[in-house]
Amino acid sequence: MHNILICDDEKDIVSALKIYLTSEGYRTFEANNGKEALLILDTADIHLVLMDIMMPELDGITATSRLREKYNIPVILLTAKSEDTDKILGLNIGADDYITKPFNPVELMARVKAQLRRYTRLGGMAASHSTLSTGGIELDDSAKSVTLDGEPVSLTPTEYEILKLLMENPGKVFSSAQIYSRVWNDNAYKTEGTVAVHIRHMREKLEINPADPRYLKVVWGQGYKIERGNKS
Amino acid sequence: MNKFKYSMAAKAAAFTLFVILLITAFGGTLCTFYLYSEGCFAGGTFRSSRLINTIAEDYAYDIGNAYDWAVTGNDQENEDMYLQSMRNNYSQEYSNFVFELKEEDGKVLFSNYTEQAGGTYVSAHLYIGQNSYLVDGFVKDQLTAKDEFYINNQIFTALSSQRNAIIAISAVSWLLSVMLALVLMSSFGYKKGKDGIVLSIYDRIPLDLLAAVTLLVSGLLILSSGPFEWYPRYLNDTIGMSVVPVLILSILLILLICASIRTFAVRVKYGKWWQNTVVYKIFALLARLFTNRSIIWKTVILFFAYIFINAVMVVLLFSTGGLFVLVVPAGLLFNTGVLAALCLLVIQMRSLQKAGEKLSDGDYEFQIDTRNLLWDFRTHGENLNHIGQGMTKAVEERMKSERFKTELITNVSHDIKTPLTSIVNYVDLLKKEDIKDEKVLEYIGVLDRQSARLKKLTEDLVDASKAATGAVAMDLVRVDLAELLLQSVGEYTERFAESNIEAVLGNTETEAPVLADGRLLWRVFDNVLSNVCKYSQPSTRVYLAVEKKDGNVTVTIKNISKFPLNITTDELMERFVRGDASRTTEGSGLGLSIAKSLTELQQGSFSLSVDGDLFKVMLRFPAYS
Repeated sequence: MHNILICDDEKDIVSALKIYLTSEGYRTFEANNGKEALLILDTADIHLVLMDIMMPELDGITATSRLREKYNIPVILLTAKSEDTDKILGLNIGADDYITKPFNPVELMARVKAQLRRYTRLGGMAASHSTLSTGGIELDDSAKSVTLDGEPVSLTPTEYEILKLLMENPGKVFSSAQIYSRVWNDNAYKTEGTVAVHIRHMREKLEINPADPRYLKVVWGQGYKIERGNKS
Repeated sequence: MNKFKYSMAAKAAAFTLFVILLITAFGGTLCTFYLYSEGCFAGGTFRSSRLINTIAEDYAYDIGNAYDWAVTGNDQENEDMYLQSMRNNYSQEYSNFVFELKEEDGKVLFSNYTEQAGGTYVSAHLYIGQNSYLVDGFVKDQLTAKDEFYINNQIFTALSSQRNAIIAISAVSWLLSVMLALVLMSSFGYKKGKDGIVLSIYDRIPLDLLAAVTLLVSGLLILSSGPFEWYPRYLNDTIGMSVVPVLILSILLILLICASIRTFAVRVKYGKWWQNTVVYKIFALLARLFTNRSIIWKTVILFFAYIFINAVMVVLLFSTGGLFVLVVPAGLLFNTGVLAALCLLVIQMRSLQKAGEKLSDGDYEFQIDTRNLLWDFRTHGENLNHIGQGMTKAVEERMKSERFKTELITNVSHDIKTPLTSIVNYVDLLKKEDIKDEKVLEYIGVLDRQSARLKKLTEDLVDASKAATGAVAMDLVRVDLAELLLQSVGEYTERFAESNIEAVLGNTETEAPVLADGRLLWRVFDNVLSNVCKYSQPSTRVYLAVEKKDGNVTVTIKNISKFPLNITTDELMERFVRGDASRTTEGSGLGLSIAKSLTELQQGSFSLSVDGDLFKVMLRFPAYS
C-alpha cells in the first residue's frame, strides 16, 4: 500500500487521477497548489508525488525544489508545456520524471509504478561484477538477464547483444553500421534498417513511452546510445 | 528722438542744416589750409605771401601783353594811342604797382615811375610771342590806389586776423555735422504711421546700379566744371564768373554724397542690403537656374562652363604671347582640379552603389554616411537610408507580429491542454466502465478518436507557428542523412506493414553528412512518412533514396497516392490543406507545412512534386565537409 499525493489546481484532473490510482490499489491525497502539497507532505507519509507545474499560490517547480530539501520520494511532473527546455528544467530541480498534458492514463500509471518500484528497491541491491546498470535497467551478463525497475524483461539474443554493447559504453553513440558489425559480426551491411527495427522493438520493451525514450535514445542521423545513468 | 524719426519736416530741416554745416566745415578747412600755406600761423603777412607775388605777376603779364599788343602790328598812330591809354591805366593814381618794362638787355621800354618808391620788390620774365621782356617793380608800402593789391590786402588781413576763429568754426562744424550725420543716419528710413524701415523708390534701386549712376553723375559734374576755375587766383575773385557754377556743382556733389550715405544707412538698417544689387540678383538667378535643374541640366551647364573656360584659356594663349607663363600653369591647374572633382564624384557614386548593393542583399541596417556626400549624391544617399530604415521597420514590425502570433498560439494551446487532459482521461474511464450498449460504445469511440485528433492538432499548431517564425532552438551538428533515413524507416516498419506498403531503400550504404539538427530532421521525416502511411495506395511500394550530387545531399521519397491529387503542390504545403478534401482521416493538415518550415530553418530546401498519382518529396541540404 503506497500513498500518492496528487497536486493539481484542476479538480477534474485530480478526480480522474484519483479514480485510476485507487483502482490500482493506491491511497491518494489531494492538494490544489504547491503550498497545500508541502503541508500534506509534512503530515502524511507520502511515497510519490504527482505535481502539476502551473498552479496558483506556489507553482510545481518551486514546490518540487522545496520538497527536495527534505524528502527523497519520487516526483512526477505534469506539464502542459511540451518544450524540451521545460522538461530539462523540471528534471534539473529534482523531479524524477515528467509527463506532458494531455497524457495517456495508461502511460501515467506505468510511470507511477516504475518510479515506486525503483524507490522501494533503492539501496537494497548488491551489484555484482557482471552486472551493468543504467537508470532502472540492469543487465546481468552471467545470468543473461535484463530487468527494468526490478521486473524481468524478455529480450531476444540479438536485442540482448545490442543492449549489452550500448550499456558497456554508456553515453557513446553507435551508428547502425557499427552496431551491425559488432553484433552480427558481419561487415556486409545492407540490411534495410534491421538495426533500427531491433532498437524500436527494444524501446517498446524497455521504455514507458517508446516515442520519448528515457534510456535507449535515438541520436537522429548519428545512431543510438544508452543514456549515462546519473540517477541511482 | 522717436518724434524726430517720424517727422519729415524736422528731418528735412536737419538735413539742410547738415549740408550747410558740411559746406562750412569744408570751406573753413580749405581756408585754414590756405592761411597755413601762406604762413599766417607763423606770423606771415600779405607782404610775405605768395598772393602778392601772384597778383604782381599777373600785373606784369597784363602790362607785357598790353605793350606787346600795342607795338606789334599797329601803325605809329595807333601805337601812340594805346601807349597813352596804358600810361593812364597804370598811373600811380590807379595802381599800387611801380614798375619798369625792359628788354632782355635792360633797355627800358615802358615805365610808370614818377618818383622813387620803396616797397615789395617783384621781378618777372615774360615771353609773349617771339618777344621776351623783363618786368622789375615794387608794390608800394602805402596801398593808396583801390586796385587788386588793396582789396586782397584787406581780405587777407581780415582772414589772417580771424585765423583762430576759422579753425574753431570749421572744427565745430565738423563735429556738429558728424553728430548730425549720425542722428540723421539713425533716423533715416522711418515714416510716420508705418512700422519699421520704409524704403523709398530711391532705396529700392539696386545698390551697385545706384553707385555706378552716382559715380557717373559725379564724374560728369566734375568734368562739366572743367571750363571753370576751381581756385580763385585772388581772394576777391569769389564773385567772379567761375565761382558760382563751381559752388553749385560742389553743392550738388555734396547732396549726392549725402543721399548716397542716407540710402546706404537705410539699406543697412533694412537688412541684407547686399541682396538688392544687380550682381547678387544675377548670381541668385544663376544659382536658382542651377539648383532647380535636374542632374542632366546641371551636367550640361557644367560641361559648357568647362568648355567655355578652356576656350577662353586657349584664346588667351594664342592672343597674348606674353601671358604664356601664366596661362599654361593656370590651365593645367584648372584641368587637374576638374579631374579631381570628377574622381570625387565617381567615389561618391561608388559609395552609393555599395549602399544599393547592401540594400539589395537585405542588409537594411546599413546606413551611408551622407555627411561627405555632395549635392544630388547626398539627397540620393539620404533617400537610400530612408528606404533602409523603412524596410528595417517593416521587417521588425513583421517579426513582432509573427512573434506575437506564435506567443498567442502557444498560450492558447497550453490553455486548451488542461481541459483536454480531463476529456482524454474521462473518455478513458468511460471506456473502462462495463457498458453493454453498442451505441454508447460507438459514441465513446468517436470521442476517443476526436480527442486524440484534438490533442495532435494542438501540438502541431504550436510546432507549425514556431517553425514558421523560426522560434525553434536548433543544435546544428553533423548528421548522416543515410543513417537518419535508415532509422526513420526502422521506426516506421510496423506502420508500413499496417498500411500494407513496402519500403524500398536506395543508396543508404555510404554516408551522406549534412549540417542539421537531427531531432528536427526526424520531425520532418516523421511528418513525411506519416503522410506516406496515411495516403499511400495499399499494396504499393514507397521508394526512399539518398543521393550526393554537386555538393548537395538529396533525399527523395516517392509513393503512390490513394486519392487523386487534384491540388497544386504549393497548396499541399499550405497550412490545413490535406490530400483528401473530405478531411475524414486523422491529421491536422499541418504536417507538410511544419516539415517545410523546419527544413528551411536548417538551410535546406523542401519540395513536392505530383505526377499523376506519383507523389514525390525532395529534401535537399548542402553537403557537410
